[in-house]
Amino acid sequence: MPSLERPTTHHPPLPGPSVGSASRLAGSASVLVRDLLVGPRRPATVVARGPAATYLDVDGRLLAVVASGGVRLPCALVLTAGSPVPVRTGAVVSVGEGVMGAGSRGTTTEIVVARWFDPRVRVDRYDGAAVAHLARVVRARAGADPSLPAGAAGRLAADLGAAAGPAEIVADLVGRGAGLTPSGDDLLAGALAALRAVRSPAAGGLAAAIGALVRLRTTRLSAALLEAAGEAAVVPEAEAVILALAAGPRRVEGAALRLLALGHTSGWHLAAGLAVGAAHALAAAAGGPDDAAARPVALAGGGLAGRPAVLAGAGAPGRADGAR
Amino acid sequence: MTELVRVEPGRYHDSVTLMRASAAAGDVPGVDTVIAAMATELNRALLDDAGFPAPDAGPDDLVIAVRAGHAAAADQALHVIEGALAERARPPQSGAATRVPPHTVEAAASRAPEAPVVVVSVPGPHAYVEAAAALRAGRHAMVFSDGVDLAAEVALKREAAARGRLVMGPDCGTVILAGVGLGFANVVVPGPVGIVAASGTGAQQLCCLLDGAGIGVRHVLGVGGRDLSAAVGGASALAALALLDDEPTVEVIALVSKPPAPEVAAAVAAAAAACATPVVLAPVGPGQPTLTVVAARVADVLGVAFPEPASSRPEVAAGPRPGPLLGLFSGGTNCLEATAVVEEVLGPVRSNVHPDPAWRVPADHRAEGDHVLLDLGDDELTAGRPHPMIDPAPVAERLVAASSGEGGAGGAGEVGGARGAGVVVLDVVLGHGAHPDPAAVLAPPLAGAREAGVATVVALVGTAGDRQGLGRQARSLVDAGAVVHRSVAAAAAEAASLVATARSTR
Amino acid sequence: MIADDRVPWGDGTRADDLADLLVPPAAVITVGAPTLDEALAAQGVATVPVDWRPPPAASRAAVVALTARPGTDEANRTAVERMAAVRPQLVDVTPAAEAVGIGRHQLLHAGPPVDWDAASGPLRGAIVGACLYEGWAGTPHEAEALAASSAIELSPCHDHGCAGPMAGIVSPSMPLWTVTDGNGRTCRSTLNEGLGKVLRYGAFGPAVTERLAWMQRVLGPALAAALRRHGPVDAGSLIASMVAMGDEGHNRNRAGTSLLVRALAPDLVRTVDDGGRSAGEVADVLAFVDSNDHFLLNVVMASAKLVADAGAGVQGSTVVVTMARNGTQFGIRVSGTGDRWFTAPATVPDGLFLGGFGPGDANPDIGDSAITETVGLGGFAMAAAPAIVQLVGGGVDDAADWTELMYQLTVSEHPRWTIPALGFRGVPFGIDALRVVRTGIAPIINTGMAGRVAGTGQVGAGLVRPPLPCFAAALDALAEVDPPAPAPSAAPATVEGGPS
Repeated sequence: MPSLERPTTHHPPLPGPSVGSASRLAGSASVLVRDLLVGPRRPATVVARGPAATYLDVDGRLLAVVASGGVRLPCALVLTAGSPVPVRTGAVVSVGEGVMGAGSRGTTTEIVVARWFDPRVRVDRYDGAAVAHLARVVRARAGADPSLPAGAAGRLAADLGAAAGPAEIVADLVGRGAGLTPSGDDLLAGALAALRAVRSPAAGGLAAAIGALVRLRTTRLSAALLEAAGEAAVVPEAEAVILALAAGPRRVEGAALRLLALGHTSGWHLAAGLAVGAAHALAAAAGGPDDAAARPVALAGGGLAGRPAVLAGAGAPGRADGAR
Repeated sequence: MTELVRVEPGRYHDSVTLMRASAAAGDVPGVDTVIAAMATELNRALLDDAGFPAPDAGPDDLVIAVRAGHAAAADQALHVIEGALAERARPPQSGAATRVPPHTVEAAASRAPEAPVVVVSVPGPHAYVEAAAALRAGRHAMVFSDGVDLAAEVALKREAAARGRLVMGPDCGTVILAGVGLGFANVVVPGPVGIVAASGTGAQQLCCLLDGAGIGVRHVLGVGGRDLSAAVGGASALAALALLDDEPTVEVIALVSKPPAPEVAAAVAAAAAACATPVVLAPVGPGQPTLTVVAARVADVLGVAFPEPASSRPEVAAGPRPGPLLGLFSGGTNCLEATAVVEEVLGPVRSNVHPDPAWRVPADHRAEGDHVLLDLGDDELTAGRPHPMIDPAPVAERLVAASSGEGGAGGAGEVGGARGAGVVVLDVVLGHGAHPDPAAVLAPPLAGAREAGVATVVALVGTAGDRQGLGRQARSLVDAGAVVHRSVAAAAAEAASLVATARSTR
Repeated sequence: MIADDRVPWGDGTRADDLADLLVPPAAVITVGAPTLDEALAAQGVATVPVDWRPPPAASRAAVVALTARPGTDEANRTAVERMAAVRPQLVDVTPAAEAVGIGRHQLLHAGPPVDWDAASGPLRGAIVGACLYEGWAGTPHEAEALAASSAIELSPCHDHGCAGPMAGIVSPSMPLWTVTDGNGRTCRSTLNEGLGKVLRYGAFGPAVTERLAWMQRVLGPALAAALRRHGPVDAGSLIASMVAMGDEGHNRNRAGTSLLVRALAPDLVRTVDDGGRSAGEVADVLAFVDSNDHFLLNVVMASAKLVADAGAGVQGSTVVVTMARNGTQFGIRVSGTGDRWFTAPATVPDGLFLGGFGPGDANPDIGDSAITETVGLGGFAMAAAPAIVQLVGGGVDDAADWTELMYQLTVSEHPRWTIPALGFRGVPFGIDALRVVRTGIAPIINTGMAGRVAGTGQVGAGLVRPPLPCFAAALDALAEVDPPAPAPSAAPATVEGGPS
């Protein structure tokens, strides 16, 4: 076996620009923003900053530069180690030729892409028991944002199968709630991604309804995440739940708990959205969307904005509840 | 109706965990009642209320009671409970865990329940024990180590099959999992291609050719060079094939290997035919399509264009002076493929890894006038030395010797009397694990070769994303006088034609 | 032989599918070249590198053979499950003559077998002291002559269902604790004499003899009477409680001793009414126990032996069921090799010394008390007893680190003896000789140190590691014995030969 030790002789450092004190960081980047990163170098504007991420506008699209250990957004360049260069909002950096560069006059930082990840998830079908179990986990944790309309998840579930389509509930939800990613958007993103991951026909209508409103009604980041959800591209915590929903009930619990731990309320709304979307896709595959709407099941009192909400198709078999 | 009550003396889980496990099992279709609880007085009463017989258990004991419509549902409920309890059984991370490193694969696995794979690169004789530990901890194993006993490989793969895990290796140099490279691997964009590889450098060449055509590779599952031998029977290759076939994002599968043993070839062909995903078989060797042709076929299956792989050449090419061809390869499959291509032009050549033992020569072979193609990454040459992909110094040394006019093809500097090479073909492999700037090491001897009238042709195996910088490496090599191809087959063909031209114009 | 394909790997650990491989790995475990670990880190992948060292060349064949043997894991699980199922109960105190059937000129000692010629200073001192106590000799000189003449028959405590601390001498008149498992198995240990010049540390003379005589006359019968009134004391639960209260059960037994006294005190006092015992004698008993923080140690040792013995005799198991030292040799016994001892010269502990003593005064490691480590207590449970570092040296973090390291050598964790500071994780349980040899990491033992000169007594306390050759020899022997009977199958092995 060859030695895997590096040769002791001196070799030149990694080739790169040797302007002033240039530092070079590595990161992993989403294929959804690959065209931005590998295209010609161009200016990008810092539009927002959070504790673990800096958000850039590149040609009207959003690129998140995320600190090591931060949430791996579907439009992110995640640093291998450390945090993004501190740049103020409004500053202009450069993006392209495989790197993001920031700084000026002697001190520059470049982030090179060391690997690509694909945030898009694709499964063949969902498992009924797994979807039911996700619904149970979600409703066991009351996490709904009180500023959402009552029974939002249930209405979304019902309207996905309704003849009129989901436009009305979507209009009620887009941009609703606090934070960089409003809760209403999280719910919609979860449902959309769950539908798109199995290439459900219902995804198209939902995406269209969302797309009509997204640019005007919500934050840049949330709009980018909804756009990604339309390609079934999600954060890894949500991806794990979708894969678990396809594999059977065994891994749902662990995956769901990890998703629920995300953000203040984002995880819960994403999970609820996934449950709605997956239940619809499952019921539609079994007997058409009408069936899905016809078998509503209570999603726990107070689970969503103080009223009994309804989850389509998440029917649990009868059992002695004294057991728990 | 099936009813079962299981008592596990002394097993403890907290009530929240047990309630969650009960709830999960209750969702299994056909299950009526599930109670998983410590047998406290309260819970015993609960069991009684639910109509279960009183268990012989106390407050320190775990009771699992299931009532279901049929036995299979009850079994599934137990399965779900065990899964939920296992999920919770992660040991808490104490401060000590950050100070005391894991000394065994088992210890590392218990600390990292989320790690799906163990990379084993301990010396060959020890690899079996560590890889077996990985499988028994429920992980897949990538065995980079070579020098692993054949019986050990068979035993590992048999155990892996029984445990539903995959053994990648031994002697597996390249694995890519959804864009993450393990071992020697190039920076690829996850795309529609999955590769099963019994040849690491073959997989790298294929990845890079596809990358050059804008086609992304999602997974490369290495299986080890011996996997398709009769003794191993393609155990890992067949498992990997099935795995990729089930992966919805993989639209075409390529299987790269040396030609398999005949009985294994039949099994592989049958398995490939049974796949729902199209499979392109790519055995490398004499009479087989080159990996460049394979890449074009993959593109064809995907319905996208496959432009001829890029090449660049210096403004003023050297020589070539008359003399034999010398091949210096760090990738074994590159050497094999180049040998097959060159032989179509020049007739049989000698190699330390020649498929035909009659043409196999030691690496210090020095018969005057012989064309020699060497795999410098071969075990015999690298034992205890860095692999030439990690440190191209051995390539540089032999290039200097061959250009000096003192050595025969393949000879080192001390070889006297024979004439030097007329043309040298070599590969330069970029990516994770490879040297940070191989062109910097090779440019001086390449320039020296040009001055001596030796023509040099380089197969540059890399992607645009590789940290060494594909464009920079190509420019440095061209500036030093080498013709640079992305395709190994194209480099070998040009080298062979240069030799033939020099011969005919002599 | 590496390939035994007669037995499928059907131990229920089959994963349900392989697909967990086809997402970017959340983390990768690496063992071997750091280069490959670094390449992953450069891609932003979390890695868990194993600090791997090759096992000694001489043990390689045994390590491979036992790893490849399909029954090894199952045999170890069986051994450990049997051990974990034991619920020791403290039931009685009985004279040794009656309890283990030893008579005139017969003594038990700690560790593997040893004779007078090979015995170290403290063991010889304790033999002399026991001869004086039993009245077999009138002077130390006579006692030495008697022992040197081979008139005294010596045999290991472990061969008689006993475990003795330090020199471990058991003579016919000594009262012994009796611990049972409720299923007919019994283990015993002497009553703890306290600290200072005591027989178990090799001291002898009138003070030692007087104390032993009082223990025989007053202490033993009083405890026996109290225990019989009280009924069995659940020693297993007592151990669980003491570990939760900061004892590790070997060098720290303060909480456990108090718990035992608390449980027995009412019945002890009532024995005065039963007659035959004065209130003053009961008060003496309570004062004696109060003066001795190690009083419970011997109960823990007997309980530990009961637990460890349950794991013995499982064919093919590499679980260690005895670790014991006689002051000259360290010996271990392993589940799959029966009563056979594997020994190597004992080493001198490393630790803190009393008064004017120094390392030159310490005898090599001695005593059966390492039976506590054999079942996950003592050095293995140091994370539960950070105060122990005041006695054995080091910082509080070291205590936690030792336990963390020991988890890497054990098959399992004790289901009921749990460490609060580790989130109620069970103590490391079931030492695997195979892992000891694979890693080259020896178990850690908390121990007292006896003076090397007979008659000195205790000189300090500290940490000691067993010599690794014991474990290597045990592994070689295990690799030679027949593997566990495989499931019958008509298919012959298809792959022959062993590893290169």
